[in-house]
Amino acid sequence: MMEDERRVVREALSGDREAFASIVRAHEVRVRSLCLSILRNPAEADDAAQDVFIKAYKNLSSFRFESSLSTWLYRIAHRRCLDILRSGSRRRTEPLDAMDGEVFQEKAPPERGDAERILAVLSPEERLVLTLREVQGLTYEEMAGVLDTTLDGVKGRLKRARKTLRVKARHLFEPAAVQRVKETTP
Amino acid sequence: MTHDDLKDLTMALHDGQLSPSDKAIAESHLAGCPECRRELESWKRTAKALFHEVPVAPSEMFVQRVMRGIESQDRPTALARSAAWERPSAWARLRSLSGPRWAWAGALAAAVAALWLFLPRSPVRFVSAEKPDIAAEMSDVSVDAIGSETDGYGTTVEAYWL
Repeated sequence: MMEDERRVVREALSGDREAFASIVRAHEVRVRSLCLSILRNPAEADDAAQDVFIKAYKNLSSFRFESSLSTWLYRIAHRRCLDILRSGSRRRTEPLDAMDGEVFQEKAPPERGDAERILAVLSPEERLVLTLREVQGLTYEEMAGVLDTTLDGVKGRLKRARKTLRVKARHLFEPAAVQRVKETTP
Repeated sequence: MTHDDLKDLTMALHDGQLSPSDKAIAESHLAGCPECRRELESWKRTAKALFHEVPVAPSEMFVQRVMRGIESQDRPTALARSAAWERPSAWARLRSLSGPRWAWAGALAAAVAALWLFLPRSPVRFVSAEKPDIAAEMSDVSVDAIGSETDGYGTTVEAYWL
């Protein structure tokens, strides 16, 4: 597997565009999925994922095979998504909610009806670390590679993010509120 | 092991990141600690409600879009090199400007004149020390010596503002 990866990367580095296209094909679902989980807007997520692959193409020569290609791509994606989340010029996130089959009912009270609003209590970094774990199901070790930190660093970040969500959004986690969001989730 | 450590262990159990021995410790603690059990259940509900994966289908259209993006990023440099000879001349660019041509030409002439008038003069030449009058004759303006130096043949020459 690793050998195949090395071969394809070498071919792409020698200018073989089709080799790079095969890298994109192999990883696009996971990268787009990560971007979508974090940004929650399909168009914005695909734009971000495209940026990730273009950046990967430009920096392919700096990939040293110290991690898997997917971890490296995830690392680029995580940075790109963080930049977008921090930029403050986000597009509206409704499209994902709509695509989800109207996850949040229109008539829900505004103070507790919207997952986006709940997640807004998290910093971009906290949101990202929870997404990597809860949505993408990365192991602590994989997360350490993506976040460029140690295993203890991962555990600490996860703990802080969960605590933030519990403390800042405590009023939203009353069983009734969580149940309502859960019922409307496909 | 403190209660906080055990609480961390139960979250790591939720994450599926424990060794068999730690897993046994966490499960045993959960069985006897209602607080940790409640907290873990609460987190599971929260995570399920807020962090759910939206399925993404493979898309060849996306792959092609990326490849087009890469090509378009590579192209400008190549195009800039290959098409340099096709660039319009300065005169052609001037002709393409909007407004009367004489106005643009006049503005250009005025800019050149302003540069000539206001830019400080540089010493125009070194003149032999014995013949500063030659420099004066050549310029019709006052001549000020601003320095002197010895040339390669041992002759002292002076510099003048003309």
